[in-house]
Amino acid sequence: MATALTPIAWQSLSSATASVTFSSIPSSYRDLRLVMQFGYSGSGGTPIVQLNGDTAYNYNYVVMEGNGASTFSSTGNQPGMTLTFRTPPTSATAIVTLDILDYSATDKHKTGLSRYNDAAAWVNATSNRWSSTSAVNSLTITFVSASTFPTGSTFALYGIAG
Amino acid sequence: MYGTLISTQTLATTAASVTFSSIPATYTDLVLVYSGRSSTTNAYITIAFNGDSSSSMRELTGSGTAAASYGPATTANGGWISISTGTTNTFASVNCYIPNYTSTANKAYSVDSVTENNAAAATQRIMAGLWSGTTAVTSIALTAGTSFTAGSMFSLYGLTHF
Repeated sequence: MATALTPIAWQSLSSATASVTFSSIPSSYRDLRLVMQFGYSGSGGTPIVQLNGDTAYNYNYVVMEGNGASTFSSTGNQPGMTLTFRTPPTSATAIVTLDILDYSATDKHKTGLSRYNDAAAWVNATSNRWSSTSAVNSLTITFVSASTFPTGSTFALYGIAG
Repeated sequence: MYGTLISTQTLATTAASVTFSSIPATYTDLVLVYSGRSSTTNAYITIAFNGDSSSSMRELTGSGTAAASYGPATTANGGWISISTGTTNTFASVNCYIPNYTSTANKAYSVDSVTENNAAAATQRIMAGLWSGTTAVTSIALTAGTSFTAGSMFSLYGLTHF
């Protein structure tokens, strides 16, 4: 059976890595989906997704999250699409799905909807907006401050047909 | 957009549980989508991987008037469905994503539930789950708090990395 979710690229880390990049993303799909399973090591950096190498604070977010005991919501801007403000686990047991809609359009800012899941700590849903009308041709997953993704972290990029 | 359909089940009569067994190891991720309604006011669902229902979860919920967070817990770790006293002919929508289901690491998963109801008792729930099992997932069972009604539908999809 044909699927509308087509794999574009996949990376699995064999050593701790500060950032992961998907480049030369084809413009032939309608939306993109990034699926990550990861952890972290470092100084508490916030994991983010930067588009087309834009490292400036051009990304706005609204997040809602809970940890089992309390709820939290905030808004602001970051130097990338925000996945979570909470410290990820040290082993690769957090998962994120990020959908970037209409990523190749050149007449609109790019919106991203993400879900962050760490059963040992926090669950969240976040909406992001990159204030650029450029078509997305690269994604870099990294941290706001110096941190690394551990060995065993996986990153999969899919294209969704329109 | 979920991937390749592995199996689907639609209930012709009330059933306490639904199981997908002999799940092939030919994919990398699984997506379980179901439309469910309870035969009572008991709306929670327990998920079991390879017969083990002890997955831990944390959850964030919103009802339109309040937000709350629950966990860690090992019950209601598979989502929530619409209740028997809710709007007639209305079923919940639940989406469960299980990345890297064949890996030898613990299995993190996410569940998004919307318990549709044309009244005050309707909620949206997002959940982070973790099954502490290091074998590949070969079966998934969903057990209702009481039972699923006829018309409840369950589909399992497989997704493959590039």
